[in-house]
Amino acid sequence: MTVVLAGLAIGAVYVLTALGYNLVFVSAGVFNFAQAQFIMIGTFVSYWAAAQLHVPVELGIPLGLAVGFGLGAIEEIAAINPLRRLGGQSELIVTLGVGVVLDGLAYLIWGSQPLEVPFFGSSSPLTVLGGKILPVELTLVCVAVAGALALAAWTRFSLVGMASVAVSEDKAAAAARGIDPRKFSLISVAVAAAIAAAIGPIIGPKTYAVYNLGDQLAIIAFVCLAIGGFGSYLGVLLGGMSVGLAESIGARFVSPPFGDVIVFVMLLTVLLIRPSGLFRTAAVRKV
Amino acid sequence: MRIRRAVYGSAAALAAAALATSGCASTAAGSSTSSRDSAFSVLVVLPLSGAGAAQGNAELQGAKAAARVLNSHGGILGHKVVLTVDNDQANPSTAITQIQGAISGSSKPDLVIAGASSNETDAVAPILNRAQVLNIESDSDPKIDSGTKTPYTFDSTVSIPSVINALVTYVRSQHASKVGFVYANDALGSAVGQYEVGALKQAGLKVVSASYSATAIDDSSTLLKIKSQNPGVLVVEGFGPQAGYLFSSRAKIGWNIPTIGDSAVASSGLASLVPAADLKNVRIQAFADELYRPFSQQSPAMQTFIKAVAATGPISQPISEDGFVYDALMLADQAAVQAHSISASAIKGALEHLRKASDSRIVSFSDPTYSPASHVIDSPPSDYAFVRASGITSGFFDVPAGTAASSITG
Repeated sequence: MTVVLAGLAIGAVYVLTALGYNLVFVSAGVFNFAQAQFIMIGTFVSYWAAAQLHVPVELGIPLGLAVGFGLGAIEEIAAINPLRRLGGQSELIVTLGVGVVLDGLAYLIWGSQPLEVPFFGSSSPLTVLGGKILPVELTLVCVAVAGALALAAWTRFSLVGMASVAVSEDKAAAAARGIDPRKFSLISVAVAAAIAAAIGPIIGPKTYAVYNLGDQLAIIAFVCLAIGGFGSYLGVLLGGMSVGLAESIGARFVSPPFGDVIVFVMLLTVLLIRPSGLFRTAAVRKV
Repeated sequence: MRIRRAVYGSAAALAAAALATSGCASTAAGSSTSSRDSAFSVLVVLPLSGAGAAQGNAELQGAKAAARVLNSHGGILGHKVVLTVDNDQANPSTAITQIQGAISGSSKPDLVIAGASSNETDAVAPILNRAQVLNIESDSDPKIDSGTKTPYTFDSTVSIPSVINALVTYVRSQHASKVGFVYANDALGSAVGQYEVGALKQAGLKVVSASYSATAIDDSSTLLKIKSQNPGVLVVEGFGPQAGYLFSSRAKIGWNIPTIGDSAVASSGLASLVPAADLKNVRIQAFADELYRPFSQQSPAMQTFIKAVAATGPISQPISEDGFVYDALMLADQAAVQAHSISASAIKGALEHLRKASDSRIVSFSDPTYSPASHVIDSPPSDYAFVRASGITSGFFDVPAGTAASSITG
């Protein structure tokens, strides 16, 4: 059971990363490659709060919200929006550049050594269904599941959520209905960055604060999205947890590096059988 | 030498070799001038940012400290030691470009210290040897340890077999019939893992091993796989956050058997990543001179070294990280004095037949020995210590709480 719980904990980190990508993709119609870097920034903000400001690490949540929102807004205004007008998806490349800049900034400020982020709860392992899991891991799993369900409900039942989907599907039609795609893009990129940075106090104790953490998470988050289906929050949840479980179970019962192989076999299988992802319906387009 | 340094530190050896080369006025190495007015130029190419920056900056501190000490004694055979520093960001291509630029001019460096990883040093060593530029590395790498294949490259550190031999000796002292071993599946981890597993088996120990994904953030499953085979001792290879993930997972599954972190773990600042309570029965492989002892009890050469390094800035890595590059310059100096020349070929020859000097400033070894065939130092298990996984204070392990800085660095 410990193997399963470890898989869920790993999967929760992937889910939380991929949810941010999905939120921006749905609401702004952009794949923001720098999204995982906002999680990295959040872990450093939490470290900074706890180790250098000597305030409770929970304050990393509001601090992360503020820092993430500010950085996300700057990215949208200075990098994404100007290039989007040019067309050709050139904004995708600039988001990669923003990610590199954020990595570099973190390196310059905090250095290359991993830093410990304390958890606000207990650090003693818990026994759940006969397996061992750390309180921070249990928190990660709960937050990931709750976050995915909440975002899925938001897009399905709230007016703003439905408007966000409308913007991603057809900007012109959404604008004709009185929705401002420009404003949606700005707010969604900033909010997604804020949420990513705000979860630093729960991701940091698991991953440490490391300047290249975003690079490590981004690839797997992309795989989770591809498996679950771009645009589907429930798909992200299923994709992320599946990947985490595959890594963990593969490592225990086959061979540790084989876990990575299983993940990419899963990806290839899904792409071959259902290219739009498990939870995404293929759209018909006139060509 | 740390095995991790074998990967991250070949640059130092290159530098030392370069030092030996550059000193000569009339050498085939093409180095420079015989005038005592000329400088002994040392090109230092290290990763000062990005991956490996912690090691690179520590090694740079060692080079700066050595230059300071040598120049306060009149330089090398009267030539002032001048460092030129480049940042290769751990990129072998960048290191090659920087070194090619330096050796293509009219005045070549007398010594090159290049790279903190074997990726970098393996790439630049052939270029430096073709140009007959002396280079002394702070990391050992079998590819460039041979005096016949790379005659102008020396290691100022110990051979990988020496490090592993010390580890095997310690593991055997634990009287376990079966040893568990986990290592990363990246290039370094795989190479080191195969070495160490092979050495443990050769020593007659039964080994159960598994590699873990270098990108994993939880290693519970890998450890459970090893645990299911009931080893009496666990040996762990891991660096940076990987080491933290491994030991956090070990604590989570409640597996407290005697565990040994290899020399890569020693460089990872484990105590700052994992709570002390989660490091029960954990020892990490270090060099004996990295164990704290009061400054007043250090040898005069070590006191000079520690003070000189401390003067360059805070010491955040194990002191030997600085020490091997410091020794690269001191080896070049000692060989130059023995050869009465700073030419690359003269220093190379002297290093291969190095005599013990009563006033030696070398700090890592009492009697470093090279031969024409082997350009790496072998050291006995007694040169190592297996220490508690404590934090590093000013370069030393096991510093008692409350120890004054003056008692560590003078």
